[in-house]
Amino acid sequence: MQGEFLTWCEQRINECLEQQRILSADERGDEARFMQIRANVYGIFLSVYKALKGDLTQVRQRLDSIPRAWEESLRLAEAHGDAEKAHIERIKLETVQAIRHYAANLEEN
Amino acid sequence: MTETQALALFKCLADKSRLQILKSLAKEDMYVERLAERLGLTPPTISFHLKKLSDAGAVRSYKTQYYTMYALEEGVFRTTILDLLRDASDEAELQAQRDDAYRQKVLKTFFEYGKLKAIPTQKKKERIVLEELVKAFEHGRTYTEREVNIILADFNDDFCTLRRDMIGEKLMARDHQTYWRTDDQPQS
Repeated sequence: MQGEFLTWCEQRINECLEQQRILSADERGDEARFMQIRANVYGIFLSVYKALKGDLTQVRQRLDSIPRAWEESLRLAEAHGDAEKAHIERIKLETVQAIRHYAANLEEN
Repeated sequence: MTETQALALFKCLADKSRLQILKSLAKEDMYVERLAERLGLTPPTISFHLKKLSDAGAVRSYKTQYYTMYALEEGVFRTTILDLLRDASDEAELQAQRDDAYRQKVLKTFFEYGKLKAIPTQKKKERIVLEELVKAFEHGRTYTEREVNIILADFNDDFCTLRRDMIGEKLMARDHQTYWRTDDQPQS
């Protein structure tokens, strides 16, 4: 089970980077940047997972604590009409949600 | 169109998704979800691109009963590249535009939602930041040190440095008890 999370994160990172490369080659610079952001978020939790030596329960706690700053940043961006920043924060939070969902399924099984 | 506006527009157009949005809008005005469906992108991504296009002056929006519709800002696209090249803005005007662009860039870097994230170490940049901060003080009014601190603390916790540097930069002056903007005379 432990190795599965690691492999899954690595796969997502590779997928995002491949998409980023395709988008970049297609002159869609901003969307390529968003894909890089998704890859970075997967990368953060991959590092957290490694640092916590595969303790998935603790990783799930970090999945709640780390995004708090992003939620606050999204709130501020929305309050100030900063559409670009808000969009980026939403992408980060969406990615966290996907990781949470996967980690929850993994623990249940 | 100024040189700065032209550059912003060209930068904005150098993206395939945004060009495709413009191509769609050249056919008819559309709302976000319709564009998303047509171009195979998510509505948030379309909204993001529309905001950039709108900021660059390439599109405008208007409300109908159910939707916010987006339309090409046709006037912008009637300007030819030759018009831009022949633009005879004088050097002083261009320099003013460059200065203003630099100033805006510095302010964007150091301020976030009205808060000063950090005090610039570079003198030139700090001067720009302080010039912005001094706007928080009213003309024709004197302030106690405590009042100055409270106003500056709204921007950054290091209000002492800001207060001292505003005096150092001669944006504010002080006597034993009060502070005032240097473009004012102190009131007795």
